[in-house]
Amino acid sequence: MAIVLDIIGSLAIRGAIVLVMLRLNVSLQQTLYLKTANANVRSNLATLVAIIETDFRQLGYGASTTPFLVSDSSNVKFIADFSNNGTIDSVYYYLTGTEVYRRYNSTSAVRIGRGVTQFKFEYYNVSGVQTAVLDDVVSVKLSVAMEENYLITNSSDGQQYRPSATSVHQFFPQNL
Amino acid sequence: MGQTMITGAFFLLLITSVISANRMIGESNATTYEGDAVNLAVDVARSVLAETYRKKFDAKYIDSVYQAASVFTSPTALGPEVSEVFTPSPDVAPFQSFARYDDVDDYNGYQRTVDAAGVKGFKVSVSVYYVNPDTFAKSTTQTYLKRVEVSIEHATYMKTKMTFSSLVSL
Repeated sequence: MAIVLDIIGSLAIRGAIVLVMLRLNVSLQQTLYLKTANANVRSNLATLVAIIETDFRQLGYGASTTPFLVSDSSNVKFIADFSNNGTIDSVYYYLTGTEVYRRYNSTSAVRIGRGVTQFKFEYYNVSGVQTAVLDDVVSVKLSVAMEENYLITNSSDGQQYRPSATSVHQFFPQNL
Repeated sequence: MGQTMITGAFFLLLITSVISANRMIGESNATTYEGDAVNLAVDVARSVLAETYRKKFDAKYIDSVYQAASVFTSPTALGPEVSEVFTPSPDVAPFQSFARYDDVDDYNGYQRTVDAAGVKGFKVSVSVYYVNPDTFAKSTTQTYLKRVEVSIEHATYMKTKMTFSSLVSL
């Protein structure tokens, strides 16, 4: 009888061990998945901001008039002699749904970001105050938020998260 | 009884491992939050550096004639002129530095508090000094190069202060 009880007891504990191990494995997988997803969305956001920053650095170069052709909260189009050949070019950034596109001159628009939940431009004058007067603009603040389109369960609190990242960057183009 | 005891011992070992793994997962989440804060801090610091790029090299700089480096502001006097000093300090949004300061070294000693998306209370401090053009080390005399150092910290989300720097030339 004692042997039977011993076997039953040990089997019960072994069952618990298997369950705990499975649960631990799931938790570790979820954590890894969450970290990877966060890293991906951060990387995508950094790329998006780097592309925009490169263009903004040249904003207005070679232009004799106000460089802004379109400037609202989620779209901006401006001119500059990007290729430094004496010809004025234009670049247009716009948000469609949750995707951000870049169009250079009249070429086809290229998608440079997806899963974008915020894409906001704010225009500031020399006093650091927001302005709608394009001739007064000396800096542009870009706020971008990006998220993945799937939910991940965080193993530590059981909550579901959508991996996301945010960036707020203020540009001070030399030619404004 | 022997089987149960041996299995129980393994179970205890496993529980210890699970506790350790959970602690690791918790630390991993903390690292994620710190990573987000660091990304925002980088944005903030780069914005401050970008702001200084638009300023002239020195208050005494004249672009129409040759100037020896010795005519520029003394290394011990780098900072805002009396008329450029403002309150509050640290500066808060909307930041006054861009309108008040007209040259790079006005930012020496400048501080601001920044609330970035979701994370409030980044503390930014700036120092500006001349550097030797050959060694890029700090110079005690005027030169044609200044280094702008932007340091940023956050009491909760950043374990260490981060410093970004950039050289500004005449």
